Amino acid sequence: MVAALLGTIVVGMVLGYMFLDVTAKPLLDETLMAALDFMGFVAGIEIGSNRRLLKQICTPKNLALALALPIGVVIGSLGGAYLSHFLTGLSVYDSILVGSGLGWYSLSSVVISTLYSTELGAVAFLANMLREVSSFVLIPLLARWNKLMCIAPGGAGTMDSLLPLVIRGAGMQAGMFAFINGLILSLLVPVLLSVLLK
Amino acid sequence: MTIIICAITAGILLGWLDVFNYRTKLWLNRISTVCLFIILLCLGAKIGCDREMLDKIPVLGKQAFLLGSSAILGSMLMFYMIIRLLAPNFDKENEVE
Repeated sequence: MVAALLGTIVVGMVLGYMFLDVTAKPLLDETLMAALDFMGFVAGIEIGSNRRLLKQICTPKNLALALALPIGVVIGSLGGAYLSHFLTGLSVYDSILVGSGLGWYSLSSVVISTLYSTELGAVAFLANMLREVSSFVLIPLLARWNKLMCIAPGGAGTMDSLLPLVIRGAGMQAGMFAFINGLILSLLVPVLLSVLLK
Repeated sequence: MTIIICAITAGILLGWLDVFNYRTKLWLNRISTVCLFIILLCLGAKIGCDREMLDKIPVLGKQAFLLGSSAILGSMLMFYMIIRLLAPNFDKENEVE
């Protein structure tokens, strides 16, 4: 599965390089979003069909866990971004700004390039896209080790694009936590960016 | 973003109301797998078709790689601690259906 996922990205890159130019991006975006919407719809059906699991998650212990996971992603991402400034040569502020994208590459890159710096916007795009793309490979691998751990790399994407992968690899219960994790992080990204860019 | 949240919410509602039978769900899942590969193909094509982006990748890519990897590793470290603290037996309690 992992090889197929990676292979598909490589095939896409080769096809894009050979047959498409930059004007194809809006069409690719539309196709991507339509496919994503459908996957989200199907993932929603799977969540909704599991009433038992929905009830099961509404316990104090599970709610505490559901809140702790996104807090962990925020602290871990910003902490990791802070430490990376020693290696990248970027300033602490720039590193944390990129890290605060939490995997939502489309939003963070547009906001950073519009309100701060085009170059840092490109770094934000690549870093956060890397996070999402590598999650497609990491989720099935990490799910074999620990079902909850596979939610960690995805960031905000665990609510939508990565959710079906989490459900497939780690099951519905982990999928519930992934959805809540992604939902909270998606709400936090605009807040973090606007606070940092003030 | 709004559309996908609506799609997931609509899915949850329809799933909760048990609108779809097993056969339909099976087919929806199959189409969903095809969609996953379409997404990956489009993501790859988006990078491949942008010559400017491809040219910049060696320069900005190193910084992005280090930043992205650090954020992932940081999140995993935090998760490791949270799981040990709050859900050490999660895997045993939730076998994949």
